[in-house]
Amino acid sequence: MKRLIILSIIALLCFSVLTTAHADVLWEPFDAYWFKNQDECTYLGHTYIINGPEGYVPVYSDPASTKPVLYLPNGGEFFIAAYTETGGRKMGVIQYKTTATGEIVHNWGENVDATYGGPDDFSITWTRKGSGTGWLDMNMVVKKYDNSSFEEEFGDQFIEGEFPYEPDLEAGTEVYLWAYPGAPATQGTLAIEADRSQGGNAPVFSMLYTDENGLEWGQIGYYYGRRNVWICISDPTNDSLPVREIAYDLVPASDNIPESSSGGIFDAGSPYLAVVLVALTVIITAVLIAFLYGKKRGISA
Amino acid sequence: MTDMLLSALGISLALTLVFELAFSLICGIRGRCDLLLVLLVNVLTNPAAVLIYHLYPPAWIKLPLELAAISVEALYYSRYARGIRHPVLFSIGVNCFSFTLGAVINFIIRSAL
Repeated sequence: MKRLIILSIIALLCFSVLTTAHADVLWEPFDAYWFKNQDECTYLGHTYIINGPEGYVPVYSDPASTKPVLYLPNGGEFFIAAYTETGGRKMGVIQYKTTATGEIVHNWGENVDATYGGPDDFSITWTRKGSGTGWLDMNMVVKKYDNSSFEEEFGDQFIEGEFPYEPDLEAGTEVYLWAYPGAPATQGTLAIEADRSQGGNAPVFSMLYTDENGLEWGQIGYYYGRRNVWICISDPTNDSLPVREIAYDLVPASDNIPESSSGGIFDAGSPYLAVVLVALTVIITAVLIAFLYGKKRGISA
Repeated sequence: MTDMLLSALGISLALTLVFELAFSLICGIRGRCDLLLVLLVNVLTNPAAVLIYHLYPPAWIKLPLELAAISVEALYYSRYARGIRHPVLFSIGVNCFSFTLGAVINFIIRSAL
């Protein structure tokens, strides 16, 4: 009995660690195509800026669809979890919701009741109109400058290693976290003493970098749920550090954005029309065969 | 989605009718009512099979769908055809023929893209 209890506790701990780790690693949209065809998709996990040549971007119910169900004005920012290539197009998946003012924005997981038990065993129900998922052409979005962009640009200047961060600061002092050196806004703070008291481990920098202003920075790969964040070692308590200017070549949002589909059962995003047509075809053909080839009315060769 | 489905259904049915009619002629079937029966049973089975495949994309579903189509078609041939001597064999052969050609065309199109 005692062994069973111990094993159960160990199993529970393993499960909680695994599920937490999964949540930290990947964010997934509640999208039927994604759930069914993950093998055909490539994970991205970055924020992109909407930038269609006509000032808006059409969104489709699935990657192969040709009839938009939604249009997004240029300038909006959406997290694109994954993309797939179909019909010569590279299509990325977004998850959205509509705000009280009618604006369509990224949705991390509101307004949905969903279960997932495998590619053939899931259900997704959106509980509020204006929420859902969709697929858009990756040629019509621009990647927002982020940690990975910074690493691509300056990675060759990083000093890699393990550098424990033990600053000479008063207890309770909060240091600012940044997505990358020169990011426009902070990513919250880290209270060194408070976090140390939880596990007794100091954060460890895996990268060091000195920027063009002579400020030394350190990147923490992972620390209590914070992933790939930077601390300005030279000035950790300053939230007004020089901002790196990032220029995006964006087309202005259009004033004439087409109206979105109403979502009716015979609309572009719905398979019901095809189902009805096929059912009718089957019934009519079966009746026709019975009529033409039945014993009493057989046709002659 | 409706556009995509209807296009897929139309293309698939048209190709299947051409392939299976050609196979029937190669097999020596000349009777008009038998050739018409080949067309009609394909109109009966093909759109339904293609629709189910598009709505439930896992690759494994192809096999039960093909088997179901072969069975239904064999049943119709054995019941109504006059010049098809081995309805089951004919159904298996004609479906394998059109499936293989369809797969080849699909492969060529995907390679070209």
